[in-house]
Amino acid sequence: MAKIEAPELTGKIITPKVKTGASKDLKVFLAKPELMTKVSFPSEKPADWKEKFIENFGVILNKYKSVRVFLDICVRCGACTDKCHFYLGTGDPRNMPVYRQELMRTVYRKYFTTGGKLFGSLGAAQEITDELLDEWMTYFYQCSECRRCSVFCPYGIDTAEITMAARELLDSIGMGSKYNLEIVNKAETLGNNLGMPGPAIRNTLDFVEEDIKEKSNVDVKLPMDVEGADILFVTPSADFFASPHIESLAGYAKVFHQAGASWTMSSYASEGGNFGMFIGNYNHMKAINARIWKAARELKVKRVIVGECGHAWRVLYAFSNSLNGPFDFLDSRYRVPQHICEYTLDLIKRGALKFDKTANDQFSVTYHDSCNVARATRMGETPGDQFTIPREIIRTVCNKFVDMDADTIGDRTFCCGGGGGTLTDELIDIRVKGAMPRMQALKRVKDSHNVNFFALICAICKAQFTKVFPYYGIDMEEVGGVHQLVSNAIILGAKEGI
Amino acid sequence: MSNLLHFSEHTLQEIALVFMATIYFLRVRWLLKWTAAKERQPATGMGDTNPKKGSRYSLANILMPWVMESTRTKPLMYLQFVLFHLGVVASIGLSFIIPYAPGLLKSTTVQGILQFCIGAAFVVGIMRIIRRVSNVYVRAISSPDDYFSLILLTAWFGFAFYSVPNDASQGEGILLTYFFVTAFFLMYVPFSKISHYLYYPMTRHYLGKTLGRRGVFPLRRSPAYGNK
Ligand code: SF4
Ligand code: SF4
Ligand code: SF4
Repeated sequence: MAKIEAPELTGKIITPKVKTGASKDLKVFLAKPELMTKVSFPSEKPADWKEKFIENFGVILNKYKSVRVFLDICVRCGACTDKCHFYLGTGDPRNMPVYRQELMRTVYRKYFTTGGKLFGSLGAAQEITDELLDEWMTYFYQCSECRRCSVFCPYGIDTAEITMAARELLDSIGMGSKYNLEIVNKAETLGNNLGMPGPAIRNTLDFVEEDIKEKSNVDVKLPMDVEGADILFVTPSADFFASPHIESLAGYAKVFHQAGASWTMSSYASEGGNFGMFIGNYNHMKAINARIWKAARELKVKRVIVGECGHAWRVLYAFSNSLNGPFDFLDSRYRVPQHICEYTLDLIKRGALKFDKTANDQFSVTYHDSCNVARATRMGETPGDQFTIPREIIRTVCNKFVDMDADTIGDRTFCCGGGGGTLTDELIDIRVKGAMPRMQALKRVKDSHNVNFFALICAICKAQFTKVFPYYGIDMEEVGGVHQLVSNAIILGAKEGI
Repeated sequence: MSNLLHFSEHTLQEIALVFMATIYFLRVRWLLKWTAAKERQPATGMGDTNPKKGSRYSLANILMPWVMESTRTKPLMYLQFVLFHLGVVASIGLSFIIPYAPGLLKSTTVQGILQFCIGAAFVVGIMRIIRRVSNVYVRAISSPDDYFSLILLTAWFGFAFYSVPNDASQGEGILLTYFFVTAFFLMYVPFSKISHYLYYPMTRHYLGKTLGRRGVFPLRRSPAYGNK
């Protein structure tokens, strides 16, 4: 593989010149037939794939009305062309959101519109061919489903939905992404994306307990499979794994401890993430999501709280009810589900937690809004609380906090470049380039405020940034979770319960 | 008035209108066939939002450039959008005024208003053509229909502008072209990207209804984050 050149860090986000085909060789690995079969997709492209493709396309159009409307309504105004981090990082026009959509739209016109049927290529309609399928496989896996483009589109056209539909369609004719389908398979059979068995998770929890005890001399428990606990806590399995995830795990545990809460995790539902969403497949999304609600029923909990993970929160918050609801067995006084940041801030506001902010004085902190939280969900009572709540927590536990430029945060936040099923090694080149806008914004606050802690509430963001920071000459240790900061500053034992 | 001009102002327009109405009827019937799925998400928010308010707000969005990112950050684009669409309304209106209420055009004020709207739209059309051809980003994403629709629409504004006085004494060429192009448009629009306006109210309504129930629309936040 050629050496990966990270764009130069200048602090400026410059729209690049169009470089046709610049990222055409950056492809995901295809899933092997055995894997395809395991996740109930055709093992490979059948001989009559074209007929199947058109038939399945029709099914998708009937199932997802939004996709059909999005395909019809775009006027090619160009407002989205320079909004995708993957375009900004590569200059490949296929990464302009509208041009990515055109991959599907031209085929849609050909088989599903009168104009396309009558006028063919004059009406910008295109037959599906092996070459075009190959382009689909390339560029629909260069979209992180982050929805930034939809914020700037006057029609709110959501390229993420088109990407999901395209991936579903590709899977349905035997063309799947190895990385994504392996994870789907692990989550459905073993309960989490990393394939960690229950005893291994328990081992990690013991380690975190010992670590806290050693550092603070307080017995903070990380319970698992406790029937009758009030709270089921679900977090991405990355939190059981390594830095900088595990530090947040300690943070959640300390918050629950300090609140005197009765809580538990589940070895059966040991994953908050849901790659079923990334591949756009309803059945897989439902099957993975179902584990959580099954665990909640079996453990007889009253409420469900979700840890730091962008897309987990998106699926749990936005889709759970439709997938596996209703959840009338839970206590209706609490929002279903609740985000750990909502929970922590509520405790802070009620005076249940005390902090020593100076514990974070070595850090000058900035915060990256994870796009799944920013643009696909919400938190709190009022629109926009998903932006203010994590910041309020950070301000409570740190003395030095600064935001990056306004057009790179909040609902305009840039994706990390590794979300939506792109966090795989074969895509490292585009991940580095896709991170460019965020890195430039970071560079500015590094220069102006010596920022050295990049706070996140998303497991994939954490994994992505620890990997790409070094390409930009930044220490990966600067990446961390919001609850890592909470963990550093919380005063244990000062007040038990609320 | 020649027979051809009379035909183009009346019979041709009527045929084109019936054709367009039939296609639209089929499209609207098709659109209405999509019943919205039952909302399973419980109503959320502070209680001052609901589906009705959400829908109204969403439909009115087009008149509130400050709430949309794409128009908030580019007010000139919004102005272009307004002028262009006013021109469309004026040019279509003109195709009804000339055959059915030509007396209205005796007023120089009415003439002035129509010509202002149509003339401004023509200028915007030219600007848009230049942008589509010269801006590398927009060029990269444009389809043949994008060029064709835009060029034809702009030319149509030109003919409409000169047709406003409804004066055939110097020759009927302009009026004839205007009416033939209008008829062509009425038939072509349902198959081209121009039909986007048909979907717009539907999508805005559904989006508003959903986000109203979910407590998001009407938006009422001023971002409380970011550096002061
Ligand atoms: S959803 Fe995000 S990654 Fe996909 S095209 Fe839009 S901006 Fe790019
Ligand atoms: S902003 Fe929306 S309407 Fe404009 S080109 Fe992009 S997707 Fe199409
Ligand atoms: S990993 Fe984070 S920034 Fe990237 S797509 Fe997911 S939520 Fe967005």
